[in-house]
Amino acid sequence: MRIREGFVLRQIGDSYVALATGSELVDFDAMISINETGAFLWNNLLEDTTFDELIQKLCGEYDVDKQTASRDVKEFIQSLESAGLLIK
Amino acid sequence: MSGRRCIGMEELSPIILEAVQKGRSVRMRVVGNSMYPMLRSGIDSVVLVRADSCKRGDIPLYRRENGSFVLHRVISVSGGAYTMCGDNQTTKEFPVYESQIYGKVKGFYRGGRYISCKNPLYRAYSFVWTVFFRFRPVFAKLIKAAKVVKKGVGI
Repeated sequence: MRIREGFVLRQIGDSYVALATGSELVDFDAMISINETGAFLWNNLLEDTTFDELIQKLCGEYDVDKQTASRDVKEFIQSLESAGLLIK
Repeated sequence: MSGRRCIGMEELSPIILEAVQKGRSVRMRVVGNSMYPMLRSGIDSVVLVRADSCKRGDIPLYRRENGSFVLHRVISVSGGAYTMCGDNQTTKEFPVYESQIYGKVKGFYRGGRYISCKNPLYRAYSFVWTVFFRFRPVFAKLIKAAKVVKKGVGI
């Protein structure tokens, strides 16, 4: 799975937002904001990767146990999917 | 980790300006009731485009000197400056200059339905609202008086 082409992550203050680059409309109404951990996962999803690889990378980067990382990655993937930002 | 958190205008404004200057549109939800009944806070959203200039009836997004962002209607234009007022307000704001303007409304979503500012019914609404602007304080006083009377007689 990976991030759908045509979206970039842009930092706004303490958080990040996913913006469509090619679209004529910038829709803040449908925009999702992402925190720093989410941005880390986003950057790892720019190239094709797997669920297990993401958990591994998250555990390597942050002081977090595998169970928590697995839950966070699952939740993040679901939010990206529902916003139409992910290709599986 | 992710969600639909409300991000402040201070942080969003550079992105809005950049997008409209590149010829893109920006859709954003309205916060505040100053443009009620046309726009309901937290429910309706507007689509902004680049505003090289505005005319009476237009609704620009502009920034006040105190840093706050406002979406109000142009009541009149004189000497290169605008007089503004929210549809739900009676106090005029003057002057507002083009340099303060980030973009203007080209249409809006009301209850999910898109209404263009070129829509004839909307244009009629905008016309009435700006023409009868001067009578708004009278209407506001009448409504207030009616409420007092209603309360007094216990209706």
